[in-house]
Amino acid sequence: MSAEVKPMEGVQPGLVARTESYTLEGVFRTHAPTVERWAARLAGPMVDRDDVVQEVFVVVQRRLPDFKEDAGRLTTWLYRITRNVVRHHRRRLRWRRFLGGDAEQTAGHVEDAHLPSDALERKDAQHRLYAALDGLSDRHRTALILFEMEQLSGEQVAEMMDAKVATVWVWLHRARAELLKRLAAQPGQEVAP
Amino acid sequence: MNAPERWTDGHARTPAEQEAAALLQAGAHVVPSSPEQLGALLQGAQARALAPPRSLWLRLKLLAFATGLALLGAWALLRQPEARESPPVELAVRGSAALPVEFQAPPEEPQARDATQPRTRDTTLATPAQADARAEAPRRHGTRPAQGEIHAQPSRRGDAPLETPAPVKREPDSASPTEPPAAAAQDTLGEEARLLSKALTELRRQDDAKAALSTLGEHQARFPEGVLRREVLVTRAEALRAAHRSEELLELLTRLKADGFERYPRPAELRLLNAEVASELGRCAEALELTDGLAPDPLLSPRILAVRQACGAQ
Repeated sequence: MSAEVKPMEGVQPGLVARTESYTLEGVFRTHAPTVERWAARLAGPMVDRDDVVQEVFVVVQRRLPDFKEDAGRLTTWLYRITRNVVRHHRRRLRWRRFLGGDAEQTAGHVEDAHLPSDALERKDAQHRLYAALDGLSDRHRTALILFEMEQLSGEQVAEMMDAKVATVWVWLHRARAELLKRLAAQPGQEVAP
Repeated sequence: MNAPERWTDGHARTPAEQEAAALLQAGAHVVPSSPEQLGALLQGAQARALAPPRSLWLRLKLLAFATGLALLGAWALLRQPEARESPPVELAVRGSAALPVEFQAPPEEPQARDATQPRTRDTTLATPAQADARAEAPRRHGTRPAQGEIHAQPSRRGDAPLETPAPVKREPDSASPTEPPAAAAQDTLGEEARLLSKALTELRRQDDAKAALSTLGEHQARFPEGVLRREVLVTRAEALRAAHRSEELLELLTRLKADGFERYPRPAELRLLNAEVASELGRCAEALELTDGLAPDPLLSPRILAVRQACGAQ
């Protein structure tokens, strides 16, 4: 399933010379762990992480000849591809849920059932977290994940999301409030405010 | 707005924030893939990049899905008016209680029904193909002498037509010579189905047996070898019954009987109809013989009993 990757924002065609130094193998060797981490955190436990990573690099291979270094850093470019692929996978997951089957059945990635207890607890926590995060708007969700989980600074989040820093702070503020509300609303969860 | 402090760095104040921070930390935990797994991912990505874009397949799948939905909707729309137009019809049986007999109106596209509609009752309108199959089986085994097919076309058997239709000039096929034969056959079948549907509507909804007979006569004149000729003959018997033209009905039923009721839709009902008419005309032996061969049927049994009672009384 190919991702619907939009043209990179801010690219001015013809302004910069084509960079020939990047190869798929080189980009993969350097950035695959980062892309894998983004994929896992942005997508959550219900999306097949390996599938996302593979699809990101399929897009990378197709678009690498057109990548212009001056138009944006390679990591930002990779992040945007990852974001779009994850968005596509999450949309597909929503459709699957809508058309039938519960989340476990429709999840592409099924983890090993024989996990140690701490891993099971972590998995349960991840399911709770992403159940709440999935109710947030895409921008709020992404800002929160990049800031709290990726530990990026406000400026880095702003660059990744192509927004102003002040806007990112607003998004974060609203995302946190919404997350707390959704966590409190989960069945069996009564956390004092 | 000031930069917020990171919850996951220990700056969560309230219990709810601390709970959320713990969940975020758990969510941030990612087990990295081994170099071997990453290598396999790279190989997979390279292989997928060489494959044709899957978005094309997605679009094709979506197109197929949308087409399927549209066809389903069209089918449902076609089925809905059909169900409304064919209420249960009661055939008046003189000398006995009027007993309901459900007739099914033919669909607009009979050839579509052939493949999809399972046959559950013998009294439902059989398709021409099924009628042919029923007729062909005994014929192949030599249990019944082969006879020419019965049609309303008089020249085939030399009989006078039961209903003299107005001389309708046979229209040339609407399909152009360059059009494929399948399309022309489709048009012809559509026209046949239209005429039969019109006759059924006139007969069952408008209680106008005369108009129905006229329409059926038009069909017989235009399509003497039509695909729906057997359905037309059965409907004609129904219309003659409704018009109380017993002599003509008996003549038609005799011809159908000679050809074999099994070759026609609703053979059991045709047989019973023949028995009823024979009973009314005082031919009780024939009527009883006809009812003897009928299998028990919850819808037909009361009428069979009525025929036997009428003949017993005589």
